Amino acid sequence: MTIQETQVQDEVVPPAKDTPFRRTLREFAASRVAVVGAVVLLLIIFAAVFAPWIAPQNPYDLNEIRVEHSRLEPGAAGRADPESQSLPVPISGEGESGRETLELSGSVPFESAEASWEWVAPERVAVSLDLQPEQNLKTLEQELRVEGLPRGAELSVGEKHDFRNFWLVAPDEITAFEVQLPEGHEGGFELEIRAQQAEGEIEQVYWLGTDGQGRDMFSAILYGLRISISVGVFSGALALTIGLVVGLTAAYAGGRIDALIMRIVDLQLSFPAILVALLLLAILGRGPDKVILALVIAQWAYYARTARSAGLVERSKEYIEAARCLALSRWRIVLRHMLPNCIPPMIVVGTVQVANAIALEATLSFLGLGMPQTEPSLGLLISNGFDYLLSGRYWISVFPGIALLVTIVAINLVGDRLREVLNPRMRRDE
Amino acid sequence: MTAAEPLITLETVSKRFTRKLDVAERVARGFGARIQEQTVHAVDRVNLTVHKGEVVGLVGESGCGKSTLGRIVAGLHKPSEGRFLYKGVPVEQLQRRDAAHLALAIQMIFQDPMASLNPRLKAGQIIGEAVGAHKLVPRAEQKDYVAQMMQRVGLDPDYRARYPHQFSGGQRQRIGIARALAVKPEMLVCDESVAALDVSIQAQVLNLFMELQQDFGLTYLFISHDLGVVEHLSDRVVIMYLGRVVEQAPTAELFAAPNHPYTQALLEDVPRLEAGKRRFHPIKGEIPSPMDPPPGCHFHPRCPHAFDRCRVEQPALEEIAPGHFSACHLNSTPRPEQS
Amino acid sequence: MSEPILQVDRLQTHFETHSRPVKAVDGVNFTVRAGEILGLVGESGSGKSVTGFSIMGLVDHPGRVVGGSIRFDGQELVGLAGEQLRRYRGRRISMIFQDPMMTLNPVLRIDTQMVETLQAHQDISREAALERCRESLKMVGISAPEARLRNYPHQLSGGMRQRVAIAIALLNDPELIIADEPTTALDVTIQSQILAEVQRLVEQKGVAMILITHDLSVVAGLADRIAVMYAGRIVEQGPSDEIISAPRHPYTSGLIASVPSRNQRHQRLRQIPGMTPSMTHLPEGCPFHPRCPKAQDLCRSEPEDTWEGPRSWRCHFPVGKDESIWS
Repeated sequence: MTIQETQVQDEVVPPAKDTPFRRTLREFAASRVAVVGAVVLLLIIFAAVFAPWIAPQNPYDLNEIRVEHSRLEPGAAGRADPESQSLPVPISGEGESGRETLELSGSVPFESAEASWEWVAPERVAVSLDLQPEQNLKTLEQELRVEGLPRGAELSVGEKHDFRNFWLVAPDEITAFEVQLPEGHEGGFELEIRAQQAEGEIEQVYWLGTDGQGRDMFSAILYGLRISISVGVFSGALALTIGLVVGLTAAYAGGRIDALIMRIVDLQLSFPAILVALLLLAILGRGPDKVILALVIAQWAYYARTARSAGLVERSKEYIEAARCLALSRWRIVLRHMLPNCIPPMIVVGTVQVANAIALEATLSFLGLGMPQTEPSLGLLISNGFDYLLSGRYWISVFPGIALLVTIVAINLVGDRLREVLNPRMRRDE
Repeated sequence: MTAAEPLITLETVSKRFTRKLDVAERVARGFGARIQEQTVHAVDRVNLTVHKGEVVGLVGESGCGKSTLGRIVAGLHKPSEGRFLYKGVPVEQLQRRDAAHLALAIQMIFQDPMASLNPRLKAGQIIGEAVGAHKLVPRAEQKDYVAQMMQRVGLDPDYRARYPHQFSGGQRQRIGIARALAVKPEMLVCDESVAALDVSIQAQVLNLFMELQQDFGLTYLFISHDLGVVEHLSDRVVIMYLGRVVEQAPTAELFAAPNHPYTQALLEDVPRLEAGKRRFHPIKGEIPSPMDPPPGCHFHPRCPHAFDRCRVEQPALEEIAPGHFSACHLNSTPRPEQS
Repeated sequence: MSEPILQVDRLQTHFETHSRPVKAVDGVNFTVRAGEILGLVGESGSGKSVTGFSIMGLVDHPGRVVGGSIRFDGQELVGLAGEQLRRYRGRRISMIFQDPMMTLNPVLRIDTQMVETLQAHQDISREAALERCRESLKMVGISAPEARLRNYPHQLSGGMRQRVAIAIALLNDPELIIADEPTTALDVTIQSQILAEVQRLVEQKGVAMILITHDLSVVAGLADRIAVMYAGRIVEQGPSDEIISAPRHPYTSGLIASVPSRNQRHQRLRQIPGMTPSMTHLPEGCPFHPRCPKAQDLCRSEPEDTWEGPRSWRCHFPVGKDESIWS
């Protein structure tokens, strides 16, 4: 028990530009934790809204996802398919020797190549290759493939594939080799040499790793946030509107209507929200629209109860009596007088309930009842990664979990501060 | 004063508030819990006439029903029983146009200047809202009209864009008065309208009330617990105790010769700004709960002159001198020996 | 005359706000003797309640006593904290609030609360404590103390609660009682009962009392001396009779002149123009000068206290005897 500032500040006339909104903002900013929460929340919302432009990958586009990149660790580089080149060597008829500049396809690894050949024996030809730049031979990952050999021909280097008709030759042996043709072979033939690079170009770095389907976790989290937040906000806004209308109707009408509405609300609130949502989704099936519907049905009652109690408080105030005395219409009194003054507590409940809606949606998705696999929300991401958790691939589950946690904590920090600022009981004046 | 026509008349008006039992309580009663519906007779068969241009002071302590009576007059409560006549016509029988007129004709000034203003509207909006909603002045002139009203109650029209919290208590009350004046009322019901104001501001607002009465020919029902204020303003004073009128008289006569023991006690107990040590001779006992008022005369448990009849029979309000009414058995029965 | 039990000297209590400090109490001097009632009168924001809280050591952040001294029975109270302060607060000095629920705990029975209050300050058995409680309740005019002791606060009427709060304030035989608007929330007949009890108690027990109120007429017949506060300062003090019959400060004079009973019935009341100044933007010099009909250029400088016998005023141009300055 202390003296409140009321006594001192009672007659203070604040500057003319001091609107209720500005005052709320100023008081909000007085708490550093809440400001941090608000900044984090704004960043998260920004990231979610602009996810398509920020995210390195569209995790829903199967063309952009590479299954080969699945389950990569955080920080792992995602490389493109290594490029390959084929060098067609047209070896002309027996007894002649020749030289040819090869037509290269692709740009890697060689810029130009020349081949020369010489028939050293009736069925034996020596081939030498001049590949530029030469050092690129060293970046080749594996043996080069020599195809197009006549059936039964043998190379002086490398090894033949176990059952297919091509030879694998080490890069350092490819520059000079001989071909032993089978007996009775006549005429020329065309060799085709394929060179493949060791590693593809780095396409992107998976800072948060990838999931089982090869999705970039960072992108998946951004898109997941987008879904989680929009589901939370949409369902929150819908439930708030419904709750506000129902609650204010109950507060203003009073009597039987009030009793009836509030009994329904009580009934609704006596079931856990998760149970209601689970049941509904079990009936309705998956999908964002159905999740939103389930969340609205599970949560409208909270808003209705708050709106009613706020409405009752406002209704008993003298300015409502004054408005009635001025013979203003009911609608005008409810919409212009009661409603705006009921908004602050609704905002407080709204922030907390949006956080709850996000958590609830995550829970539903985690249980496999919420969003479909094609549109993974944070909950679904966590669920997907859950199977890998014990195999040490923590990142698939943990990073979406952290994103969810930070989002909910940030919303709650903002909500708590709003409660302090907007709660009439904690207010210093008015 | 008697020549003036009655503006409003209440005939045996009662107002009861009943708190109905909810489901849980009804169930509990089914199991034998002693829970009953609670009824408060906030106003109990009150007759009151206010003439045009008259200032009637309504005095009483908490629970006496003075605020409820004021709200009945202002049309905020419907009486549970009895008739409400406007210019001699029962309100149910009023023509449509007269009923619409009555809806604005009686305005109320409230006790708490902050609570009676919508905190989300600016002063100009508060004053102009009803004017606009009822199209009392053309839209183009509305701004000027609001400025005129603000000036009339002593507010700078430049403050029209300010919110209620940016005004001082006295200024807020002026906004409330301007809001009522803007719809051109015939009568103002002032419910403890200066009680929440600082002492040095009270006189300013009371002066404003008196000026307005002269300028607009207003009629007042001035509800207050402050006898000094009521004495200064009123032509006639009505004293209420636990829902009933106990005494009613022209101001000068009431203060010079109070008849009812309760009125006498009130006048005795009121703090006075006089030099010299004062001996307090307070009347004993507490104000009974209006939910469970004593039988007979409500005042008898605290009355120094109470006798047997007071405990069983409710005294009627009788005229003891021209225009002076009192509800006390002492007026019709010789005073018993012991007092 | 006996030595004053309380001497307040140049007391300053300021509140930190986000703009500039609010000087809620700015240089207040007064004394109270045993068996004396001092009426501390002022409007909202005048600093009268903060003065009371400062003496009780109940000013909390953002408020702070920044200067001056409060001497109680020779002991300096400013700067005392913890156990040392507790020896005074609640025991030798007690407080009564406008809302008795500030004193009463709504979930505890009256007897529990009263016994706790006693045992917090002295070593006393429960039986002895209960006996003291009964005595104390009887002293404030409660006829059935045994029944009241078993009640919870919500079972009592407003007037009864205030009586109980006063009884609790009396339990430890305080030498000084600070009563902050003790009757403001009460009805006229109940107020009169409480004031009568207060008057009787002060006379019987010889306790000193500071009665804080906004209503000059409440203290007029009750207090021995009156101190009138305006904008954190005492602008005038002296024996009640003299203040009421011949105020020297224009503000006091205006307060008295504007009371309806001092005006012709149905005629315009004399009034103080303007409004109570904002404590963050006080006028320079005498804070009352913008509202004062006697104000001259000199009033832009702060006046000093002028003492004349038991009376003092803080005004450059005090109101003369029979001078009427308000219209």
